[in-house]
Amino acid sequence: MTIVNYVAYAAYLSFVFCVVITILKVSKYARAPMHLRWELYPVPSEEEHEHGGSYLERPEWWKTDIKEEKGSELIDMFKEMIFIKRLYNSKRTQWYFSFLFHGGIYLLLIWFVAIFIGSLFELLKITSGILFTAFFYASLVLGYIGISITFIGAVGLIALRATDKKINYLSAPVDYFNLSFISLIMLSMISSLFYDPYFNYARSFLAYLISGNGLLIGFKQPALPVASSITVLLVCLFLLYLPFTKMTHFLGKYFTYHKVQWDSRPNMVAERFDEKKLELVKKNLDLTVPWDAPHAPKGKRWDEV
Amino acid sequence: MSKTVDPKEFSRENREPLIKIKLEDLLKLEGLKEEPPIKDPPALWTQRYDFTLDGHAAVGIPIPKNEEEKRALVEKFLNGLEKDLSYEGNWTFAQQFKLSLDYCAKCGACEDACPIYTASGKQNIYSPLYRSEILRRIYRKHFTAAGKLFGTLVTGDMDETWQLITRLIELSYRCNICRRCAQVCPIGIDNGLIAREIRKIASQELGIAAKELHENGTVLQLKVGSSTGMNPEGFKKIVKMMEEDIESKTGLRIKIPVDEKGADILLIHNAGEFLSWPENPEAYAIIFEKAGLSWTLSSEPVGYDSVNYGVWYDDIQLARIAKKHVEIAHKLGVKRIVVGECGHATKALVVTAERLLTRENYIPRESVLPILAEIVDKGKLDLDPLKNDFPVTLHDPCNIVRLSGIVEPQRKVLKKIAPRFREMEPHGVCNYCCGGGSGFAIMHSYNFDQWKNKVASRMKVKQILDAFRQELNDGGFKYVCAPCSNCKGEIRDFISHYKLWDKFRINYGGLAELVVNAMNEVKNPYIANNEFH
Repeated sequence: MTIVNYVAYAAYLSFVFCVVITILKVSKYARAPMHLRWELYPVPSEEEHEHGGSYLERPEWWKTDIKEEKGSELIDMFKEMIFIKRLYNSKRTQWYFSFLFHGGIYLLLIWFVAIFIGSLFELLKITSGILFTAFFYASLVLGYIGISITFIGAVGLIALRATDKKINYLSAPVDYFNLSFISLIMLSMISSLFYDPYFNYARSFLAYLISGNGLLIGFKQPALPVASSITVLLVCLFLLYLPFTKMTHFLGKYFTYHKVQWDSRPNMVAERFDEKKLELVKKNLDLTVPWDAPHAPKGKRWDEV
Repeated sequence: MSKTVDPKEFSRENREPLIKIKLEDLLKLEGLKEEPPIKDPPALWTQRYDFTLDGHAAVGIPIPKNEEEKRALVEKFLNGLEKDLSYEGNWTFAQQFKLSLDYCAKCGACEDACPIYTASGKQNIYSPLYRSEILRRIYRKHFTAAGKLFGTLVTGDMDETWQLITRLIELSYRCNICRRCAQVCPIGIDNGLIAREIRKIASQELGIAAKELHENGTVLQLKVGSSTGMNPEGFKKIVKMMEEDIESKTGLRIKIPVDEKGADILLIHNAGEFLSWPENPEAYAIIFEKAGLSWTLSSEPVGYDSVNYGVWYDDIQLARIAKKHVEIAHKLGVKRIVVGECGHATKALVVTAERLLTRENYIPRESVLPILAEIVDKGKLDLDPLKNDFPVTLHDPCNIVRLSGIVEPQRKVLKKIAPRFREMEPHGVCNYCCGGGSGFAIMHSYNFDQWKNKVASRMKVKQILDAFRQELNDGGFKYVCAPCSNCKGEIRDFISHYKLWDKFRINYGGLAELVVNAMNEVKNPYIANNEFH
């Protein structure tokens, strides 16, 4: 067993762990009972969304056909995901660093895809051609910019947190730790660049991982500079830590937007019932009230309150 | 200077208020040269109840008599929080509650969106983030693996005292649940909901709630028929008086239908209208009759009062009242329920109750505003907008606009009947609460009125003064149109407090009154421009 073997095992383990725990966490939210409606306007899928309106503006709305404008929902979703529009409008100082930080992470995710494709080329022994060249240079541009702006964004956010009197006294050590952890990974990536400026080792290592430690597909174990090994191990630790933190808010955001704030669909549209929803209502009303206050009918079903 | 209170200090046991509200810290109100001073609470109250949040009390939680009572307060709250986090115990809101506890990045984007925080001179304890962070620390300590393993590294430092709980419950009544904070949050965290869930834990587990919401609110409504205390007999008498009133004011003889079986519409008003602003239900009686609608009021207990205070603090009471409204409609055999000009009642019955109704008891429900807009738009009434030739601005009730998406109908009406209509800024779904939201409009215990007028309503006072800036001192009549009973209650209170009628002739009222005032058939002015009530 070489160090590269250990690093490879750590990578497999942490990746699988992160995926499994994240799926469990998401499924816990996804399995939640249908809650009472709690939407917040504007809801972009509503036909009246341009002025923040809803189908409730129509007399006898239940007789009308309530269309869902998925296109406009997607546009709003992307504006929020890519540009963090709400933060831009409500807290500009925070937005500058937050945008760099999140933008950097997005670029690093695309960089990873470019490296992944590069590693496939390596496995297929393709060493030239337009696509090979394109992904090679794309990975350079994405990697260098991604690492830099993620680092600047993370350090900026730490500095803001430490100096903004409105939020620093509410920050627990873990709030600084999360950003510091990512900054440390970025620093480690920067140090790896001195030994692996073209991400060649990174591509070979990923190809080695894809090859199943060289067992599934014959692939020679690559060398990995110490700095790169440290970077991979730090990323592994991060993957083990990530699912337990609020940094998975990219997943939470799906639910807060789509399943709460934008969930305004009624149970009756064009005078037809949504049978599935009515089933869920019935299921909820069958649950038992556990509350203890004098007025709470403890032990009774919600249907009987 | 506003003071920064850290969570450790928030939880510390002592008898001094964490902050003191001072006039010089509050948001400046341009155009208003003087306002009543702020008074300290009498010792009689502070010795018996916990006033240590900000020297004010909305709930007035009694100070525990011994260590056992102190411990019980903390333990019961933790029990309640556990139930509130479970899908079984809190299917109604657990998903959005847990999301809001788990994912806040503490960026502070929500703070400046909050009118209470801003109007208070940015007192940190009123920030939406602060209140939620206090609860999150309790949550993380007791209900997350990370909190149990790593303690204060994850939770932050805070003691677990009885005053942590009493202050937190009081603090949940320093939020209008207008949800402006949730609207600007990039992650979609809902700090308004967290305030509501704190109230709910207090109510459903500890039996602690604002008296006006629970004992004199939902409990009274379910017992006698209305949170105003009005019983069916009293209601019927008022209806008779309203018919006489309509005739004497307008010369029109209108028979107000009550308990008409098989009518198309069951119209339910906030019962506060009958007592404080009968001109509003009278206006609807005139408009519906003239438009030829088939409608009725109900004299069944709860059927003549649309309020559902449960929406602000208690899911059990929310469900009970919504169910009752629906039952009454079925009994009358109407085709739909129409909720009058009342924001929270619209939200509760039209929106929130949707997922409490099964196929068997489902009945369509809607706000009265789109119906009014359609009547005006289709020319079913003979209207002369010049009869409303005075400055009019529109207050957007949060529950109607931001929380139900009913934005344009009221504007359509105003554009047709009020030639001097102007918007407040900001308006529509970005509006500010009147300060009476989440029950504040009806809460008058202890010195809470002082806090409401000085802090909660301050942003709305500023908006109104700004909207009328051009004519502020011209001595002419001005009208704040507020199509919501609770908002009207709050606006009435702060107009009196700041003497806006005496100084600037700023009055207020609903939307339907303006419509009737514009009717050619009504000869005398329906809106009196020389009296404030």
